[in-house]
Amino acid sequence: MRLTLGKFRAGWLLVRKAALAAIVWSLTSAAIAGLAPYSITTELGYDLGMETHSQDVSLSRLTLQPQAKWRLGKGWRGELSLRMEWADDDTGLGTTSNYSSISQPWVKARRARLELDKAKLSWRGGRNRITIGKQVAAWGVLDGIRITDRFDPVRRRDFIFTDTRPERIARWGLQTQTQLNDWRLDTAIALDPTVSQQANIGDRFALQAVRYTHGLSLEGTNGYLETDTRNRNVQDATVGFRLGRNLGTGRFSLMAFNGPTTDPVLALERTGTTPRVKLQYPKRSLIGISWDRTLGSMVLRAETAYIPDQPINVIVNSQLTQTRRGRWLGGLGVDWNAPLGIFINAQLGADHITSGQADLARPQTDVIATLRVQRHFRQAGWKLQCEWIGSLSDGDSVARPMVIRELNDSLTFTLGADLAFGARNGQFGQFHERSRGWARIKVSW
Amino acid sequence: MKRLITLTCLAVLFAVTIAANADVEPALLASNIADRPTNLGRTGEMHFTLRNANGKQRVRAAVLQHADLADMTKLAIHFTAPAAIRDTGFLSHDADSGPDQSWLYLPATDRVRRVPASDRGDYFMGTDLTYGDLQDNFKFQLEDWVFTGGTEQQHKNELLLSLQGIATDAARRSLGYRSFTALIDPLTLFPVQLNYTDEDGEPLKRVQILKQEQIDGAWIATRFAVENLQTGHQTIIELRNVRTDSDMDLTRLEADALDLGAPDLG
Repeated sequence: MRLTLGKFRAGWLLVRKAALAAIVWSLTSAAIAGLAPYSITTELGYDLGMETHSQDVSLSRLTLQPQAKWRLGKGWRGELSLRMEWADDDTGLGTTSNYSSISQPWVKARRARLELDKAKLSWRGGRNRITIGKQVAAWGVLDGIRITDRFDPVRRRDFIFTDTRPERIARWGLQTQTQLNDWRLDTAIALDPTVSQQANIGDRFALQAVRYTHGLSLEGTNGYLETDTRNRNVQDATVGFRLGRNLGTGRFSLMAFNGPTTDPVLALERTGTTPRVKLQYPKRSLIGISWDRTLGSMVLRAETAYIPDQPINVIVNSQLTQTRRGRWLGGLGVDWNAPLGIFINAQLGADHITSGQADLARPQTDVIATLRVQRHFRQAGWKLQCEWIGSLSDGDSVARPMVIRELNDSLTFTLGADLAFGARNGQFGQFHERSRGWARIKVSW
Repeated sequence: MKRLITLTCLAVLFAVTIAANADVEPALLASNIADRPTNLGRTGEMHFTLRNANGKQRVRAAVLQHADLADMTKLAIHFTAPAAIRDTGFLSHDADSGPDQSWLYLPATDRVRRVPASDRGDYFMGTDLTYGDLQDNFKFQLEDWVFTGGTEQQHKNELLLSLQGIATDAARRSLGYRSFTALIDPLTLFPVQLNYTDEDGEPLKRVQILKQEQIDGAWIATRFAVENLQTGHQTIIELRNVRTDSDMDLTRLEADALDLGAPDLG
């Protein structure tokens, strides 16, 4: 049996390498053959932030993201993008142990990273599409509140203080889209066990609340938070489908998938006499439905999901251990083009773990609300935006006001603040001393 | 195609009638403008130059796909420049009867997102054009306006027809206009010059058609300028490489295809 499994792994490794080589070869040979990319975009951004509490510079990060796209013949397209980051701050660039061996950043120093962001080849014929390579599967209809949108791993090194939320991490795999009369079927498989990225120990947004750490000291890990080795590409694959159809001016989708959880569980491991804390991402399944509908100047959104086997930490005889429980998630949202050019997005989400014998380390039910208000001024040259995200169950929250100025066609300047309020053990309040003001300059060409 | 030929014949007949009779009934003129022949499918590049009162200039470029279907108009705009908004896609399905639908694709989110249908009076992507202007294509929806005029006027050595419209109470708020005055080219049935007032009756916008081209039997304004008289901001729109496409791949005008980006114009 071991021999068979070993052969299978070796075979799979060969297939994986061949697929990677085929993609890189296709894109490179296309470039060499003189088939210039039809689109090359480069974005250079610099973020500088200062903590309001300590007045320390807590964020100083330079990001360069080049991207090229090719048309490779009838129906074929290719895309390649890189992410280069340099940070001289205490916010850091996040863990790297969450990456699988095939997705590891090429450069992964504490202050510098270079990684392949996306690399994909797609073919489209009529209403059918197939995409192979490093890609994301952005399912779900709500914004930032993840109900059914749990296929992809995400970056959490900046907690939730990011422009795009969630910040997805692309994985190697295959996706198909097929139109069957009025139905659309999406299938996705990620043969890449990369999981969500966390902030390293000691970094500004390393999790501190007891609901996440369960009272364990995460020190003694040399500043790096360890994740279980991510090299079981097949066993830890994420596989799923989504089936959707239009209903009037709306769309209804049913989806199901199985793969590593997006919310890690802690495990205590004893190596010699020193206990070590590890993040584990056992597999679980999710069944969900999503719906959105246009209603004049509004869009209504709703999602619900059930995870029958959510891995979770519980306290048994004062000892931290793991179990599986049912988990219900639900959310509602509305977008509204309000008068005077104001755009409003409001959402409400609930996350409930079913009862069991042992005490949960986290609250049984979390209720989260979000509100975003924004308006453009002066021919969209200025944008004011304010976002509030709060826990109605814990009473803590964050606020993110910002002003965005488009200085010219390629240069944008943003000034903002990430303000956290609440008790130290709340999911937002844990960072109340990490509130910061920040400035960002972004150049694109 | 038959419909296009019929409408073209009607337009020519209308122009001959104008030449013979000078003034026309404003309602008839408006009706002929509304029935102006259009191509069922159209693809082209759209270039916006945005200039503020201080002369500072920004540019936008996009690939536009437009289809006039029996019960719906579908419009997809894929931005190609500047780099900051490259690959951003906007799609609208404007139903002749029933609610409109819109979607937006932002590359950073990797997701096509249903967005609220914009009010016709909302401004489009920082330009001086409203969504209503984009949908309207220099036709005046008959149910939105009460028309007057129809008299002949001399304008730069050309005989044009004047047309005025007062927005109905229902349309005033959604369009953001109280009235318009237009000079119409009787041959193409395009307004050569168009002035709008805001809801309070103050001068708001001046539109000048700088170039018209006949493409597959239908006249298209391929260069026009829109000036906001209250802010001094101006948008110049130029359409290039416009081609009609009666066999357009309509699946490209569905939300599921918005993330594919701009179609190849060859």
